[in-house]
Amino acid sequence: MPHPVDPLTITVVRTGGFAGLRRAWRVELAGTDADAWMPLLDACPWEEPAASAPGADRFSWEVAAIHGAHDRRAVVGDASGPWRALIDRVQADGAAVRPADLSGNADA
Amino acid sequence: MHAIVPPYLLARLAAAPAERFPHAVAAARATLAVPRAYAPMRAHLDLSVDGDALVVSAAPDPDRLISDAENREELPGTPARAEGAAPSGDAAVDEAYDGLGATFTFLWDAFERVGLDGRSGSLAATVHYGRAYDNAFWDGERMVFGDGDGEVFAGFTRSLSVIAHELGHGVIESANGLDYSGQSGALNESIADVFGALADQHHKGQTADAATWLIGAEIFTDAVTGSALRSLAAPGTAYDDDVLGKDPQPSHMRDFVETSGDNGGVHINSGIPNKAFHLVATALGGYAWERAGRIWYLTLVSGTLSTAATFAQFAAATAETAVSEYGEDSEEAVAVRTAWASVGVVEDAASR
Repeated sequence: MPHPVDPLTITVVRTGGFAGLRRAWRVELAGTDADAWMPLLDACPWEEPAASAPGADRFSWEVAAIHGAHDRRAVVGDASGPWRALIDRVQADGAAVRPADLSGNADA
Repeated sequence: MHAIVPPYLLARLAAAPAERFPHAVAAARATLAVPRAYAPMRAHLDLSVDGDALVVSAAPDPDRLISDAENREELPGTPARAEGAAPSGDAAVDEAYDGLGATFTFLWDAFERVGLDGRSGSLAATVHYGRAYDNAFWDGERMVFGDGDGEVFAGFTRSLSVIAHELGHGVIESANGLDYSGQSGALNESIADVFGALADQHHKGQTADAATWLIGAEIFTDAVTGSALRSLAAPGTAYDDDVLGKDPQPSHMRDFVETSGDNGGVHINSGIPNKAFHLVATALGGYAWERAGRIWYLTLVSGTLSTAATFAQFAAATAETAVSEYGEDSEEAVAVRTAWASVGVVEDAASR
């Protein structure tokens, strides 16, 4: 159970696309701000395998929501519905992060 | 309807008492059961005179439809320009129209392939997808272009290599497909880049040594430090920018990138088979689509390539194609074996 003062950190990494570029966005929230995001997070099907839309050169997404010891991650092939809502919000409210600055990532 | 015996006659025969004409009745029923597919294709005839002879040659025509998503993300969008229509005045629509046409001409001229599936000239694209959408993709049925963000990407329809790359995915899917992850996915990406580069070279009439071998050279804004998105000649050197980062492509198997993103790095590890193609094309010289491209294309449509093909399996298949087309000790077969050994996909070319 996350401690009340643990920040909620949501990171979105976008890969693929025609250019194959790696970009990332992150939002860090505390207290009641974190609570406001819970419905968005809980609406996402974290346990289900990622469905990939047909075709090629689409974007691929990796989403991670870390709240104290509570760590939820997913690879999202088709960013629609609740995933799209969450990703759009992180991009709008968060900051761009250099992928090399992401912790726990061996990839350049 | 193109048939000798009209359907109504077959139907009367099929309904006749079987005792009277047992074979004919059964045959009529069987004939009516066969689908009578009539697939019209647009084509044009070129007429010329050569001495005393009238020369008639026919070539297929594309059947293009460009649609406008009007900055929404619903497909296909509103029809904006159909085949044969005058320029619309919308640069993205008209660039996509021209690029689709140039790619169609390339596929026919280089490989005698009619469009994406080899049968139909139908080509569809949607432009103005999303808002400041910095991507172009193939959705399984059509090409989809965003407008770019105007900061990094100026637009995608202005680059023939981008357009032909996306249509290349359509050709690959029609052929048999290559699973879009891991090595088979990197092969899928590489073959699409090969189509992109060759369509561009064909349009410009460039030989292998004169070509830039760049993908997407026209899509960056001036703010970006880089010549293009990818280089088949020198993977890893296309861009080095403080915002975008550095071109991550390897050109040798020792530098194969293990990553979870990008479906296992399909846009990254494609650098290795891209370099192999460049080596074959420049070793042979001339127009790259004539021999190197032909070997790659015939391998793709051979029907013997697994959808999960690895680099090594594809390398072996291209070598087999080269041998069967040109001979065991041909310049072409040697170039193919040497190229795959040079990029580390094949251990020892001499022993194969």
